[in-house]
Amino acid sequence: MAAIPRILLSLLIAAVAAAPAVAGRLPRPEIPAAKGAHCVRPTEWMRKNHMQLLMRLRYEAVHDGIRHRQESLPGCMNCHVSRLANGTYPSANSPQFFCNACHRYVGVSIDCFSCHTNRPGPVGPAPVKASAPAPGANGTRPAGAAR
Amino acid sequence: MSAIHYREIEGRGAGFWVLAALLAGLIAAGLTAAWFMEHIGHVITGMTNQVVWGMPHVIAVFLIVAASGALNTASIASVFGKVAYKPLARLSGLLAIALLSGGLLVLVLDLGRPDRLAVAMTHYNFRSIFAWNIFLYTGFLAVTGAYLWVMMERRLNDHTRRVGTAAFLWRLILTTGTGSIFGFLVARQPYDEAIMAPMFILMSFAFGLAILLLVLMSACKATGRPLGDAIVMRLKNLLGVFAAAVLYFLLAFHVTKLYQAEFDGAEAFLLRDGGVYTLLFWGGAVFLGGVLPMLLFWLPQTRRSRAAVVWGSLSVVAGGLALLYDIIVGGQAWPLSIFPGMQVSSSFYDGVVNAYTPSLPECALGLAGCAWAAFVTLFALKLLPFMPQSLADDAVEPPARIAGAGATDAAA
Amino acid sequence: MNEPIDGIDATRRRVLGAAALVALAVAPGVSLIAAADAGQRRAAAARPTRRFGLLIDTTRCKRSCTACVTACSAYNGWSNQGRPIDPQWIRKVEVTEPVSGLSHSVPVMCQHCAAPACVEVCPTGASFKRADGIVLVDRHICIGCRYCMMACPYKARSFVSEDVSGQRPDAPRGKGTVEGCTLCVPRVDAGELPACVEACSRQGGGAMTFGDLNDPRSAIRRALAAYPAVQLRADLQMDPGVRYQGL
Repeated sequence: MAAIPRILLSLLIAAVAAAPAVAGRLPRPEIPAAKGAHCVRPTEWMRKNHMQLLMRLRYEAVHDGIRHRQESLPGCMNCHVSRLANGTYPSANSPQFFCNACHRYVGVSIDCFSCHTNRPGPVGPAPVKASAPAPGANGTRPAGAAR
Repeated sequence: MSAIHYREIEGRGAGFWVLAALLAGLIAAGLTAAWFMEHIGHVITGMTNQVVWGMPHVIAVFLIVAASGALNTASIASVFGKVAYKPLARLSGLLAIALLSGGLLVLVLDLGRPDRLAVAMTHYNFRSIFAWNIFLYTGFLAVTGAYLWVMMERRLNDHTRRVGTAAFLWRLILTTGTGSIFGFLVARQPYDEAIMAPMFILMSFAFGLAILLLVLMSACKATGRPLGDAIVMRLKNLLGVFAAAVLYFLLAFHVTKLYQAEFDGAEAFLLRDGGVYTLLFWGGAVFLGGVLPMLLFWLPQTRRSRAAVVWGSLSVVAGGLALLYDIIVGGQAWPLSIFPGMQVSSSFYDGVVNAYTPSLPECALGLAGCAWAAFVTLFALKLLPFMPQSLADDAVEPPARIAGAGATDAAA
Repeated sequence: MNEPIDGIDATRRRVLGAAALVALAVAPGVSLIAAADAGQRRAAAARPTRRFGLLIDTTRCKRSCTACVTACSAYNGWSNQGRPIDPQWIRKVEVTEPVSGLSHSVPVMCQHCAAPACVEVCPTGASFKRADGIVLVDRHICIGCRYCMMACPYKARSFVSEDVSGQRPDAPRGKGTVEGCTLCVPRVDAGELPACVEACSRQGGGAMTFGDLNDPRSAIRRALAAYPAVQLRADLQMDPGVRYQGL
């Protein structure tokens, strides 16, 4: 069901990638460069199948607790998101954000980043901050809420 | 007269278009509200982490419950063979579909992620009564649609009884499912009674019939079609019985609760100390929903009055909304009992009565569901012959015959 | 590119390399990936032999201390400003016995029930229990109906009513879906303690013990065997994995 648009999309991307002769007439997406040496899968494969890989990884992480450092959405961000010239990270809506470069081009909207951060960051459990406020001195208890 | 003649309403006058425009405006306002609720978030509603279901759910549940009740008139005709109700069977089926679609519209647009409706259609947890309801609702639309078809297509009239029976059983299961959404919630003291399922069925009988009566009387009046006392008084008496039955179930429900010391606090809140919820229960559900209609329908001074039928039906609708607000919102206002017998306080509203004030967007969304139901009904009446040309007394009291065997269509 | 990289066999790469054959390869590709990757599956961290739980000794929980709440809030990226719409994954409930006035301060979070009402009622299956007993929301399929919040006896779930930004990489959360205590599942999967437990032992009274309820040698099982503990609303028989001593 959901595979049909994906297949059409894959065909479109494949057609764009495999037809340099047409490139002159077609505007091409400007894909920001990645940091790492190579992706977790061959680039050609990722272009067509990244969504299935992400769906599988997401299921495994959420349901089975199988968490990969690189093969994960945060892993993707760590290689594919860099600071812009002005020193900030592109927002999830920005056309300069890696995912948007192609997704805008092909008109496929994604909603990953309404929950997930689109910035690089440490993958894996973060330590509990030792500098946390002293007991009783935090702002979580609202005045007058505990009636 | 032996044949019932159905005909579309004309729908050309200024009144028709003004009404249509008004309803379209309400629908547009509700859709706008839903867009804001999705894009800004539920922060613009009165619903919180304490009162998680609010006004949209009150109205949606009302419409859904009323939808299954609206079908009853048709069922009485085709399943139980009461010929006198037969002329209303088509209108009854139409209202069922219109009301249910209005309720579903509200329910779906209130979701945190209405964009994921496809997920709700492809991922099912069959232990969830909510998931079953998705099938019950869509199935109800399909079965009622088929029912209307066999009633309106003369060559299929012979199947009316069979399809009508299926629709009747389906609607009983559907309302059981709707009542069980609340009845199965063991965590919340104001719910947690299996009697809520049959209570919802009786509520549906009353709400649906009240709406049918109101639509019937206003449509006949607006189109100048004769509407005899025979049918109106018959329906009115039935509505009085249904209103009384709802009162009976409310009594049984609360007496059961009061008998168990565990629920004393919750019951005292809802019935005595709950402020607006207490008022809605006694003034709304009991008086408007039950006592006043019965008085209007049966007191010697008003029992022959058409106006009393209209006011009584409106009163049942108002009482029904009050009852659902009381059940849904009042049931959440009462705090959860996590530490029974203890006094509790926290930064997360433990142990306090939760406040809820409906906001404009959520009311607009709820109203849009009602407007949608009315809009669908209005245009269906214009496009297809749902309404009998005459419901004058001599047209609706045919000699006793088996239902479904004699009606001829005269769709001009 | 010569070495097989996870999940893609050589044949498949050759096929993919040939642009002319792309059209043929794509449709069956869906099942090929699944088949190829099946052999690569790593062992699940969520094992059915374990059941994670918490033991909270309320005699060691000081009323003034909110280290667990602060740590949870910081790790999972939620904050409560006291508005009724604000989320609260873990809270301190002050519980007082009305006759004696004896008072306890009790951290309450998702109780990670063995028979969770939230999982039963969820229409899409977004609310689910992991093999090791941790109750979670798969927010990818949560439609935001809030029926789980209606069903939960502990008010452990919150609905996100506003846009969220600045999430930590392993703590995604966002508007329109329901959330609650995850027992810090990314930490647990990495063999670490939930943030609240760690904070309680470092800065609080050491009132919280995390562990495998199925392992007789675990600290939590030994403590449960030594002193009586209760479950909240045990009468509902949802069998919470969070137990309380001293209540």
